[in-house]
Amino acid sequence: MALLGNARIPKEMTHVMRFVPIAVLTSLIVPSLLAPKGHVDLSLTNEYLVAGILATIVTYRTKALILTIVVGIATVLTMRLLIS
Amino acid sequence: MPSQREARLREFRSGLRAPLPLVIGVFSFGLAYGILAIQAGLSFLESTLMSLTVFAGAAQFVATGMLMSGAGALPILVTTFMINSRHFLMSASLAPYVGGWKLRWKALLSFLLADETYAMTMFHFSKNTPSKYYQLGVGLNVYTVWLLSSIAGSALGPLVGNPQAWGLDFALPATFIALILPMLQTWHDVLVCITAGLLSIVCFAWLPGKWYVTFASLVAIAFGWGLVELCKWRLSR
Repeated sequence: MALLGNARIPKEMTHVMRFVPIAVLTSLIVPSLLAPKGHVDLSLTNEYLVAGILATIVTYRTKALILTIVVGIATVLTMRLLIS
Repeated sequence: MPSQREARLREFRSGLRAPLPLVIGVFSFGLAYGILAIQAGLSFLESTLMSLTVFAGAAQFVATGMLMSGAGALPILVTTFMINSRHFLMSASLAPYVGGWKLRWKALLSFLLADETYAMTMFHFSKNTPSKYYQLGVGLNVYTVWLLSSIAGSALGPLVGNPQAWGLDFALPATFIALILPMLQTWHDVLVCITAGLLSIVCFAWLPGKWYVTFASLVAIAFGWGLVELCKWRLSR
């Protein structure tokens, strides 16, 4: 940011730049949901996947961050108790 | 000019307030880092100094893990550089907003840039007049929470066995989900998101370390660019 701050960036680039946070955050999060233990696990015993789906639904419906986190953590915790 | 000072103070305060919903996520992440750092054999001072000077969650986690497995300085430097290379992309997308700001401001705000502060700042700047005081408020909030939670974690390290037993490890993924979803406003956004998701899981399986983040997001952004150009080309015909 300090280095590139003065560089001129073409106006149409700002339109493409809106994709940057979407792409970076998505590629950070998807593997951690689908492969929390280092290998891809698409089963319903993957608590991160189930909690991720529920958290997505809660965010989509309510847009409430705290509720999303609480539902996510509660799901992970419940599933760990049930599975173990 | 008092009115200008008031406006700056107002921006700073709203910046300080903005990440409040994220505090739980950042705090539990920092707590987990502090606990892990102690378990990896770092001293309380070393773990706190890392949070004070590095301020990058993923990089700190990886550095701690590598220290635990006895890695040397160079592999740790290379790996953490790779992990943080995503900040090049983030900074580049903020560049259009910060062109006129002084270097010392940009240096300070660059240091305070993290995944969370970036997401909040970008979201705010896309809808309001960009203000360095807002970004400073966001950065200082998350930095303070990160530092305090890391200190708390290092202090609790010997006491708490495992943050996973509390389900706190899911706070961060949940936070990211809640950040990404509101950003998906057009079909282009949705397609870029799906591309990044599919690519990241493929790259995760094939690329070493955390390269998958950088590679998948670069390709997904290029794909989005292609989409924009394609739509322009079709409109112009």
